[in-house]
Amino acid sequence: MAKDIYTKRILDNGLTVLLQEIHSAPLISHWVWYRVGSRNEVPGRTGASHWVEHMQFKGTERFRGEDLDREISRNGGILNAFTFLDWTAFFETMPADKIDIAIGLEADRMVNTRFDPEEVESERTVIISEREGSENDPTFRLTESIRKTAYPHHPYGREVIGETEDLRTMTRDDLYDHYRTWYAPNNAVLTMAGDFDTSDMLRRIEAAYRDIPAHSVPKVRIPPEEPITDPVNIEEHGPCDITLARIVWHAPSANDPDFFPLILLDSILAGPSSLNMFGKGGISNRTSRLYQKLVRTGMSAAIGGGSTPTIDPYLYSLSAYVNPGVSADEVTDAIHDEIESIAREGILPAEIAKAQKQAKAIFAYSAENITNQAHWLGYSSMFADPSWYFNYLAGLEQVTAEDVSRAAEKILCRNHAVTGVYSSN
Amino acid sequence: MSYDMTRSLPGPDNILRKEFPNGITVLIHENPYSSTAALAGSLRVGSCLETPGKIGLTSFINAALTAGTRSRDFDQINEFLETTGSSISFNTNPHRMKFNGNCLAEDLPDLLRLLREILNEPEFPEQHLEILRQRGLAGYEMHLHDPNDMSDEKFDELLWGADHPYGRPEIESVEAILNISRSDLLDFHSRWFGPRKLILAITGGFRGEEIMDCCGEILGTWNKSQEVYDEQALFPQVTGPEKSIRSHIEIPDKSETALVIGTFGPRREDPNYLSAILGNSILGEFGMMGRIGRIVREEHGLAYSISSSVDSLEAGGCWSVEAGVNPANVEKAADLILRELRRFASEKVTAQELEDVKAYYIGSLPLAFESNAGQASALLSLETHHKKLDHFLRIRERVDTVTAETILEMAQKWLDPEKMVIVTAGTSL
Repeated sequence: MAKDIYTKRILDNGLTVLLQEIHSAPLISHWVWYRVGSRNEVPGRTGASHWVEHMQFKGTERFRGEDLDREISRNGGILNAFTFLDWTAFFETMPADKIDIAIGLEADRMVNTRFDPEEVESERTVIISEREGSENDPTFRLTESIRKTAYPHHPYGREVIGETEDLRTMTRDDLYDHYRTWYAPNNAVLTMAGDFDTSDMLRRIEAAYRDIPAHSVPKVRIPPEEPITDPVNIEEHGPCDITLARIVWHAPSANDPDFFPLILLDSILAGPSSLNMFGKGGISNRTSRLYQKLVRTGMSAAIGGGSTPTIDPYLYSLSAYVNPGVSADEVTDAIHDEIESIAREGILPAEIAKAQKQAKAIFAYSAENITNQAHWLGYSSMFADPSWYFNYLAGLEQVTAEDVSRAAEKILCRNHAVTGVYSSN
Repeated sequence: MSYDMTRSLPGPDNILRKEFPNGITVLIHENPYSSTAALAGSLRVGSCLETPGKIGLTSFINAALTAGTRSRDFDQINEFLETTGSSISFNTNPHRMKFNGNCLAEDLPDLLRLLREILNEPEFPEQHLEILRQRGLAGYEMHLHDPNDMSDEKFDELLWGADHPYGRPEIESVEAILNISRSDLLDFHSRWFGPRKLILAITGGFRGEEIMDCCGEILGTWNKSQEVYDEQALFPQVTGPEKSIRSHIEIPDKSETALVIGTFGPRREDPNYLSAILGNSILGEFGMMGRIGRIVREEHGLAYSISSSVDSLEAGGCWSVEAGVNPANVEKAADLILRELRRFASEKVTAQELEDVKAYYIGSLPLAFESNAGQASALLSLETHHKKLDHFLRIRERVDTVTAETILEMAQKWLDPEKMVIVTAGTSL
């Protein structure tokens, strides 16, 4: 099925190209994904991937910084970029007849970005400002502590934006070295969805990229994190008078057979989550088990959960705002009790059917948008391949009630959890 | 060869529009590429109708509307929504209560039936109101510690005055959250809700005529009395400050300070509204946040988030620049922003700048119409502002009327850099 929907080519220099024709609007969304994120960073250079992403907007000799944004915008396009654990991605969505500008821009900045020392310094304070903006969230430090505790060795334990100390001390040459190491056609995936002819588009992409040579990219071998074998509790305090309890567990990677059962378990426990970056159509979680158990009974003001598809095992998290007069322990105990009840007594067929229908609806909402379609082609390629995305609903339909109970018992075990609580000073 | 992007936009040939005798207007646009549907609508019921001591009532109603009706209880409503992967949500501005919904196209008639029930016969069950109070208290505490929220709120209060509907906070206080009762909600619903001036826009993968018939059957037959109010009396004219006003809200333990600098802007119906929109794009939006982004972020590295915006409603608007900066850089950032505002209000924008933003404004329109939700929202805006169905198709003509002179005239009318409201929120050094 998937092969009929998109075309895959690998150019001579190793650049993987994935194209999906969609003719619903005269638009094309064009993404370039690099297999580099905070997972590829070492202590002392945390945040380098994200900083390099910022530097990619400072321009090349051909596209000076200011002209780069201007060329895309004045031609009716939008552009942006994201850095995550496993990847860095850049995109432009534009009128179909203007897409050559985006192709030229991305091919150029794959190898020709200027790392002007003055601009590196100017961007240093911008990124520190970005981190300071995140720190304004009263629960930011709790999240940061939980991640570090759950992953003391693996890079997934660090914030993608990096440690403040590293952001203050990293040099221009550190960043340039990071760029030259990881930005290569053989470490990238170009994805495109929209109103084009595949054969013609392949020719245009090849013409733009064929002169960029491949180079050796380091193999990343990160030892798996030691499992959490005893429950860990963390407390954070601040002036905001709320209590937030968050429990995390090591979660299966995107390619693990337990990943799909966990998706349905999350939906049953805390309502559906969207795995894409563009929302879930506003579906609420009022019939979920934990809403019923915690919010309906007055123990919590709100609950939520979620996981993320990643190369290595990452985290599944459940969060609850604890109401006054209730202790965080009571809430976290109730969450564990509910999970153990699923592990022990199983779930109803109707619960699975509802979770599957919700996933189908979210999938359909996301398919309306060509930016999202091109996003999914690349995103799924960062931890699997596009068939992961195209087989997503089929994968969920194969999950049985027993699979979900087993996931609850195996993954969300009380003794394998890191629990963090934020409360007022 | 350049493609005319406006050709792909909805227009009279593919928008169905019908006014029903009960006062409801429905607009429908088919999207044959989609298997889903989106709806966007509004009732003429705004937060301007809130009374002292009950500020925040409409926010409470928004959250409580899906908690139960005379025909269905909380569980039945939410079981339907969540089992079908549908959603419906409500939010209110000073003039209107807006609603948005999403569903698979096959579930659209059922979602419309639920919408009618929710609008006509909400029960606001006490048990669920208490849950919403608890959520409101947690949200309000977070709001008090959010520099962006607090600076925006103070800015509105100083600009419009605390009694003006545009100057009031969304939630007044903890007491207000605790004091709003079920009977307040029922009374408000009884007085103000009804089909008169209700607008509903729907787009998606269905046959438009069938859905229009469905709307007629479900919503066209809704009759309920509702009070009429004099909106002009609720939105008094306000004069701006004689000189710049400055205010700081101290919030402990914040790494970054939120900065807002601004003043009044044009109403949505102002004939030169488009000059303000395009001018603002040059000032703080186009590319990497326009002139202000280039100076404050790119050249001086003072802020990650910075932009300017024109927010225009029916009785007035405001024009503001917002930034998040380190507390040590607040004065420098404010000075740079004011310098750019002075330049913007004293010199014509360049021909190149104007050409760029015009091309962006027209060229990027199809992006706003990519999703059903985007299309429904655009159709709702069309009807709300009494525009003709060819409004989107004729956008180029209107954009062509904007010149460097009309932008300067607009800037000089509204942006006096010596009469700004300047608010900061965060932790002082």
